[in-house]
Formats: sequence, structure tokens, C-alpha cells
Amino acid sequence: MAMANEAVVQKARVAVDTQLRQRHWVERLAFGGLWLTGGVVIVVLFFVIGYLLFQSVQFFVGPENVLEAVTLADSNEALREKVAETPGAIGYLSLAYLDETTRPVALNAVAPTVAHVTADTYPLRRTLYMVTLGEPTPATQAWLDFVRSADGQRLVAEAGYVALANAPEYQPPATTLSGELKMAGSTTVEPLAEQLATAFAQYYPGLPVTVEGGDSTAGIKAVGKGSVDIGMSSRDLKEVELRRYQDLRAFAIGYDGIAVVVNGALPVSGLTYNQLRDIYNGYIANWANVGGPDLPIVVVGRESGSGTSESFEAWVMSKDRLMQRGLATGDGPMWAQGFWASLKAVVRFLTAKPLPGMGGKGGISTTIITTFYMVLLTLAIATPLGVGAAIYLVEYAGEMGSQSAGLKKVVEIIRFAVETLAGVPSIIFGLFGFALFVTVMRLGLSMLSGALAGACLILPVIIRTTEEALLTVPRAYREGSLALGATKWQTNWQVVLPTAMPGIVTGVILSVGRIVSETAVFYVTLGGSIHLPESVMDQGRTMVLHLYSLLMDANAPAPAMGTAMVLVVTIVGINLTINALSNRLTRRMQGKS
Amino acid sequence: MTATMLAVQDFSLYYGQFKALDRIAVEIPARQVTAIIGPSGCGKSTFLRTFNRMNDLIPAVRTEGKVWLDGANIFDMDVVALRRQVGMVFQRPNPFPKSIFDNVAYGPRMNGLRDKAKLGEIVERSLRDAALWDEVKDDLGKSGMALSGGQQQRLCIARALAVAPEVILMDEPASALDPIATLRIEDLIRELRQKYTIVIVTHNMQQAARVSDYTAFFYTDESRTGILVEFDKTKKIFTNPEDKRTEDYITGRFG
Ligand SMILES: Nc1ncnc2c1ncn2[C@@H]1O[C@H](COP(=O)(O)OP(=O)(O)OP(=O)(O)O)[C@@H](O)[C@H]1O
Ligand SMILES: [Mg+2]
Repeated sequence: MAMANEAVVQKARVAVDTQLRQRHWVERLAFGGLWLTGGVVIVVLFFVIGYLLFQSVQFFVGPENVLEAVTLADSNEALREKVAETPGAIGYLSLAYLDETTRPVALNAVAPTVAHVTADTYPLRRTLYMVTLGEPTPATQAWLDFVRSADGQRLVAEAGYVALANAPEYQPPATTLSGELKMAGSTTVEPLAEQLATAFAQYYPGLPVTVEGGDSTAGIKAVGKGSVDIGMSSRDLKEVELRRYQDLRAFAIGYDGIAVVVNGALPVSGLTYNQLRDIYNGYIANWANVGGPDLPIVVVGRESGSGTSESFEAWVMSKDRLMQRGLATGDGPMWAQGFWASLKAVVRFLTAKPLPGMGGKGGISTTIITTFYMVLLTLAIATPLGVGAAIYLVEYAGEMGSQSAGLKKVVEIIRFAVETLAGVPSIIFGLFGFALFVTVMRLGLSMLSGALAGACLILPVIIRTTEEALLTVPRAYREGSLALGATKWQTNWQVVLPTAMPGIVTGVILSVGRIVSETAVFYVTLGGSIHLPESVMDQGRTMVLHLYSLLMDANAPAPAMGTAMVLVVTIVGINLTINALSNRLTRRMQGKS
Repeated sequence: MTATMLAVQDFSLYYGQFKALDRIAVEIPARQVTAIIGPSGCGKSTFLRTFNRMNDLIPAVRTEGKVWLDGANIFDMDVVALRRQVGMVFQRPNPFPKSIFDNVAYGPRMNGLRDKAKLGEIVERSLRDAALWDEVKDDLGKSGMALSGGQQQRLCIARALAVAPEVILMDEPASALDPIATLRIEDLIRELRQKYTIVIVTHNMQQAARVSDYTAFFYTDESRTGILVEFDKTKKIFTNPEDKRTEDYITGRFG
């Protein structure tokens, strides 16, 4: 009997449970939608942040800018001469041009010698290539066989480059070939190729070789399009090239080392890669900082577009390749070296001024400071106005005030205006600010114009959040205060405002976010000078404007990514601050602290 | 009969077109507890709020007749000065979100008192008079919101006492409290009678009988306009009322 009862109860319980668990289909749909939306939001957020993180890490790990004040030389010989005659000079050149007029510098204790390049212990080495499209034809194969043989490699070494290791003896051909072999590309390889062609003609008189210059990129393009048989390249093939011209094949024909040299009078015989990078980005400016005499460093480099400078920057000015080989500092674990070197790059990015010109070079320090100024200036204008307006709307004209019919109408109209303004696209505020502040009031493109226009933009935010905060203050507080003989002013100042403070602070911090991320308004009112403004009448450039200009004017997406990361971190920081502050204020209000 | 603290003459009050109180006349004795009872909506709160002119906060209110405080017409007085003489305790405890000390010191500070020692004295005396001192003396920095409901209400009483009023108005001061807390408030009211004139609105007949010396019975009919039916010593009202409606109300026949 008891058992039966229990079973019945159990059954009923299960029935109730299922009933409770059952959901109406609308509920199910809503829940499904909720999960979906939540999921999408989280995925999007992670994607955005992850993407930015990835890109900006690449930026900070990647090549750093060579300082602007570098002296340029347009050939290896010119550079060697410049370094030899300038006290305190440093430069870099092809290993083939090394001689006793300058002092070669060991990097991480590895001297720039043919032996070290051959053994691949000296990383500033680039490979020289012959490139074909698809399987080599008999003619190109014959050329490659010769060039990559011991005979060909002897010519490579004689030209001052580094020969391939273990080249096989040349086997003279048993058959003859006829036709023509055309090649074009790198000017570094061109003279070498001409010598090789002369020697090649002994074996294949029926196969004349024509060598043209251009540059590596042009050579690869030519072979990709089939207008030459062989492209000459003094650098690795790029991924875009491999994708555009399918089945490109690169055959190494030798190596070139890049040696770092200093003026012969300098008693400096070794540097680390980090020191070298810091010299070239201007971080180290005196030999005393790297163990030399107290003498300013004169930095000499090659003109942009030069393959040597490209290779040098790809290796030395970025960290990733050196990091892969554990060469960033020469000691400590690899990740730590990379981390410190990149951290230094981040700090430099944050503290260096942006450089003029279209390259988007330099750091973002002035834009950070200008952003900060703009936040302060805009808030200084908008907060008193907005909070004051909200107090008037709620405490005097509205719910907590006189509530006379006429005022009610006014309040309604103002509220409508505020709501509408909150939905107006920000470029309209920019337009308005430009017309009124910049033009009519003759404030020009300036921080003041920008701040006034920005204030118009955030006023609705501040008014609305303050109004809401005031409305949540219980009427009983006001009555309690008034009943004690406090005046209206005292009541507002002593009871209402402090109680509403968490809400007001939230509104203000929200507007900080608005200002930090505002583009359109400042784009047309702030000017956009990269210099640090010295007065409110000066032009300025906020981080977002800088980001915009990096992308749209300078076409420099890499520093744009870095700037974007700084921005996102700032915004996340602002949101965390809102949470922390309003939690703390609320807790204090409720007396839980 | 004792001296009169508040004299009401021919007093009527309108919320816009609606007449909420009709020609009330009553003399409230000094240093006595006067209870106002009556069915819901008969205008008790409205009447009570007249004495410190809290009704001024409602724009549509219009009044006729006179109210004298110790011989001065309250409608001619400065409203801030009036409220310092006529304090109020509300139905729901409404301490400010400030410390216990700051709650009690609020009124004196608003009067311009800055002297720390003086403020400390006032706070202690007010909390003692409100029978709260022993419970909170160790932690005056604690938020007033962190007290229990009964303690909060006594804090509000202390806050009202701190400005040294003549009269204290209480609108159902114990209706949001449990029976124990209610009893403590009632004890307190009887204590305070020695120094203050107290007017208390209550729905609780026993409470009126227990704490008050005088009782005013308000009533309203279908017109919803409140009238004063009877005012007398509490004992008389509860044992031998003049008016049939009073008797019906206190015996629970309606209300
Ligand atoms: N602000 C106001 N505006 C318009 N009418 C009001 C207002 N306050 C009160 N009234 C009206 O005045 C009348 C008296 O209200 P009052 O609050 O004084 O009654 P009460 O006796 O205190 O009632 P209760 O016992 O329920 O508290 C009621 O009809 C009420 O609707
Ligand atoms: Mg009431």
C-alpha cells in the first residue's frame, strides 16, 4: 500500500516537473533567439578584438620605422665612402663590398664573413634566385645546371657573393640546343648573370642569352607573364606573386650577406640586433650607450627601393624573423626576447610623435594627448550645461518641480528636442559646428570649435542620463529634506545630486567614450594637425582622426591597426571604469561599504 | 485646558477644483499628543501637511482660512522658518543615503551650524531623545540605510528633533513597522510629549487610544470632501463620542 502510494506521488512529481519544464513555443523561440543573439554578439566581439590583436601584434613585432634623420646613400660604394669619411658613422652594405676602409661589426658576436653566411650562422643573408614558370624547359634547365654547378658558383664567389654549398662539378653537354634564352630582373643579379652568360656561351653557342635589368619585382612579373624565360630576383618570392602566377619556381643561385660597418676610427666591433635596431629607429643616438666613446651616432642607410635596404629592414627593423632564430637580444628565452623587444616597440609607438608626410610613420603620442585634451575640454563645456539642464528639467520644471501646465509643455518640447538630437547622425553636428563655431564665430579649425561641436553631440547623452538618475532619487528624500527646513537649493545640492551621482557619473563616462570614438565631428572642426596643440585655438588630431588618416590618406594599415588597438583598449578601459565606479558609488549610497 | 499651539480657523483646501477639506476648525493643545483618525481618503494627510506647508509643493493646491502657530499665521511666515518649527516624520522611513551622523546633523547644518563639537552634541542628544543612541553610538559613520526599518524611523525622528521644533507631525509613522518596532515608537511618542507638541495620523484605533491625549475624527461622504466631525479628549472620543459617525467608526461599523 505504502509502496503504491509512493509510486503515485513519484508519478505526480514527475508530471509536475515536466509541466514546469515545458515551455510555450513563444518562450522557446525567444530563448533560441536569445542564445543566437548572445552567441553572435560574443563571436563578433571576439572576432573584432582577436583580429585587432593579431594585426597589432604583427605591427609591433614587424618592422619598425627607420628614423627620419638617416643619411641616404644610393649605392654600396657611396655608402662605404660616406661611412669611411664621417666620424661616428654606421651603415650597412653588401658583403661583396666589404673592405678595409670601414670596420665590420659582429652582430650577436657573429662576424659578417663568407664562412658564416655559408654556414647560415649569420642571419643577414638573402638568397639570389633564378625564377621559372612551371617545369624548366630543356634550355632553362641547361642554364640552371650551369649556374648551380661548381663552375658557375666559382663566378658567383668571384663577384663577391656567397656560393651555394656542395655545388656539383659541371658536366659539359652531350647535345646542342638552339633558340634564345631571355632573362630580366634584379640589378644586383644582372652583372653576375652577364658574366655567367659569357661563360655559358662556350658550351651552348647556339643558345644566346640576353640579360635585362629592371628590379626583382619586374623580373618576377615578366617571367610570370611569359615575356621572359627566367626572372632574376634578389629576394624571396612573395605570397601574392605565388598566387597570381601559378607554379612559379625559384632556384637559389647564391647568397648575399649584408654587413654592418662603422667608421674605422670607432672602437666598436660588436653590437646586438636590438642595439642595431635601436640605433636605426633613433632610440640610441650616442655611441656611449653601446659601450663606445661619447660621440653622436651618424646613421647612414640606402635609398628606399634598394633591395639591400629592404632586406636589412625586413631583418633588423622587425623582430619576428630574428625572434624565430632566438637572436632578438642574444640571451634569454626566445619568447622573452621577442616580448621585450615588442614591448619596447609598443612603448615607442605610444611615446613617439607622428611624423609628417604621407608614410604614416612615427608614433601616436600627440594624438593620445590631444584626445585627452578634447575629452577634458568637451566635458568641461558639456557637463555643467547638461547636468544643469537636467536639474532644471526635472527638479524645477518637471516631475519634482512646479508642474505648471505651461512649463510642462516647455519640458515636453525640450525632451523631444533632446531625444531627437540623440538620434541625429554625428556628421550633422560636425556640419553645424563647422558652420557656427568655425565659420560664423570665427574660431577657425581649432580644439575650441571641436569641443563646442563635440559638446553639442554629447549634451543629449548627459541630459538624458542625468534626468534618469534624478528621477530615480525617491521623492521622499526631497520631502524629508524640505521638511527639515532646507531650501530647494540645499535639497538639490545636499541630497538629490549626491544620490543621483552614480547615474550622472555613468553618463559622463559614457560621453568620454563618445568623444574618444568620435570621428565625423572632429574631422570637420578640429583641423587635423599632427602637432601637439598649445592652446585651445590650435588645431589637433585625435587618435580616431589619426587612424582615419592612416587608413585613408597615408594608406598605412599597419600603424592603423596599432592605433586601433590602443583605441579599443581605451574604450574597454572606460567601460571597466564605469562598472567599477558605479558599483562603488552605488554600494556607498546603500551603505554597504 | 492647556495652551493652544496650533489654531485652525475655517480652513478649506482644494486640489484644483476638488475640495479636499471643508472649513476645518480646531485648536491643537501644546505639549500634548493629538491623534487624527478617520477613514481612508478623508484628508488626514492633507490636513497634517498643512501645518508645515508641505502642500505648497503641489502647484494646484489652494487654501482658504487661517492656521496660527503660537499666534503667527503660518501662511505669512517664511516657509523655511515654519518648517524648522514644525518638523515631520513620514509614513515610510526616509533616511538620506548618508551616515547616521550626517542624517541627524543635516537640519542643523542647513541652518548654518558648522561647529563640530556643537553638531556632535546635537546629534547625541537627538539620538538619545529618539531612543536610538544606545544602538548606534558605536558606529555613527554607518549609513542610515543600513539600519532596520524601526531604527530608520527612529533615526528620522532624531533627525526631526535635531532642528529643535515646537511641533512634530507624524503621518502613520508605524504603519511600515512590525509590532515590536511599533511599540517602541509609541513609547517614544509618549516620552516626546513632554517637550513637543505632537500631531499623529493613524489608522490604528488602539494606537490612537494608547498614545494620544486628544483625538480628531475626520470623515467624508460621497462628495469625498473631508470634514472634522469631532475633536475632544481621547478618552471621551473612545468612551462617549458625541457624534453617531464617530461611534460607528471606532466601534468598527465602517471605515
Ligand atoms: N496631490 C494630490 N492631488 C489631487 N488630489 C489629492 C492629492 N493628494 C490627495 N488628494 C486627494 O485628497 C483626498 C484626501 O487625501 P489624503 O491623502 O489627505 O487622505 P488620507 O485621509 O490621508 O487617506 P489615507 O488614510 O488613505 O492616507 C483624497 O481624495 C485624495 O485623492
Ligand atoms: Mg494619508
